[in-house]
Amino acid sequence: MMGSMWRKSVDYMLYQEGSTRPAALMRIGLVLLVWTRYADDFLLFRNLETYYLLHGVGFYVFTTMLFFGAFTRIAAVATAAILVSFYYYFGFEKGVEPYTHHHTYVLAITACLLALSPCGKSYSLDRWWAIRRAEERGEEAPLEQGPQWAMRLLAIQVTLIYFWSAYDKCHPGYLSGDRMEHYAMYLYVGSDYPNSSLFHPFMVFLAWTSVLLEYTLAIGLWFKRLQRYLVPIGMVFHGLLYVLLPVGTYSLNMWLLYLAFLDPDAVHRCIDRLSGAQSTS
Amino acid sequence: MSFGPCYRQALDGDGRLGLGVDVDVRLFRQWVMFSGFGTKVCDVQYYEGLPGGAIKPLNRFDFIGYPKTWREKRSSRVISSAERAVHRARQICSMMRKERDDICKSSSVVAGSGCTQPDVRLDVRCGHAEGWKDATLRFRDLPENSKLPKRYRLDGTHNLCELPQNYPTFLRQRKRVQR
Repeated sequence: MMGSMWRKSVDYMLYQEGSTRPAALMRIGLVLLVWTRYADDFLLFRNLETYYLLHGVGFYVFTTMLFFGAFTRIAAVATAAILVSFYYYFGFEKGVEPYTHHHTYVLAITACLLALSPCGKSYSLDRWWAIRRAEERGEEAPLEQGPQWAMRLLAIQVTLIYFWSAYDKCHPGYLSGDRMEHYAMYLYVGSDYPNSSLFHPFMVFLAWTSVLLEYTLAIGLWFKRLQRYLVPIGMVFHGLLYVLLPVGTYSLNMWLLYLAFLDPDAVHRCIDRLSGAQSTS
Repeated sequence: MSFGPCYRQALDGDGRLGLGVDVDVRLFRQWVMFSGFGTKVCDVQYYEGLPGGAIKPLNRFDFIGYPKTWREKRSSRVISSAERAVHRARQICSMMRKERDDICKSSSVVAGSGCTQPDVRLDVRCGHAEGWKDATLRFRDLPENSKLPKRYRLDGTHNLCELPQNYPTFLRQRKRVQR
């Protein structure tokens, strides 16, 4: 019993193959997010020093290639390297403090893990060229299929983020609602403590809800049955975080990462149904 | 992926990996989002001390010159530190002193009434990563003849108008520890 469960888990984590469309969607979404975060900082006139220029040019070239899926593997590895460099080299070595924030790390780790996935096998120039080659040879178009272990790693990363951020909040200062009061007063109310008697209970409620939700998402997203409920709840959670707090690209990055939990073939079929095409996965 | 949070959050690692290997601990990512965010806010309440020991809440915006509105910048609503809260209290003291002087100069006032020393109290607690912390002014290098205590609790019991003009000179500057 245990042996078969173990084998099933190992098979699921390491050997399963499936549609490459979720990874491709993630690839395209990631480029949009990294442009939102970094593109303005690396306009060429901003800094003409060699290291800055190299990073900037590399950023534009490789992310553009990644967006269109041209030589995707090379583009994905280069993009990941550049984003890691933004985080570690610019952030810590050059002292650009905003580049050390959690949302920039999530962008970098997403790029790193996505570079291990077959994200160029769908919605890409690479696929277009592969189809043309197949047509020239009189063969069928290649299937949009590939190994899913990199997507599992992305899912593990999401779990780790939820688990450890919930773990970090498990202290009296947070669970008593004090920290929530800080956020509310710092960003909205100001230094005058609200007169309403509901303010404190509401902050306590928010604190406990956020911690419980993060623990639930950390584990629950792995279960297909719970995904139906937890994915929309998680998306609303991140949507609210985006509009209430300065979280940058983090919320949308997490939305993208939810694709790693979904059954890739179900995503494939869903897109086919939406476009009225017959599934080829 | 897993090592960073395990090492820093669960094991409280400081970068000394043993065998003389030291690394910058920041290289290992931990997931402590917004742990320091929003701590630069204080919960501030001003009071006017009345004869007989009673106190009356004061609205600081009555003395600032503009009302509390959502149109003003967010920073206009937020007092970020105990020192700033005291500074604002001192401004309120000055304005009340000026009002008092105007009243006292007026010949229509019966001698003594309305000519009392202003009395402004401050009850403040400030944000901290561990929750709210009561605020205290700490002084050092005070002159020998100073009546100021070394620690001055801001809990609404002291009249801040009695602080000497040069009190900021003696405020102890705390070093901020970078994590």
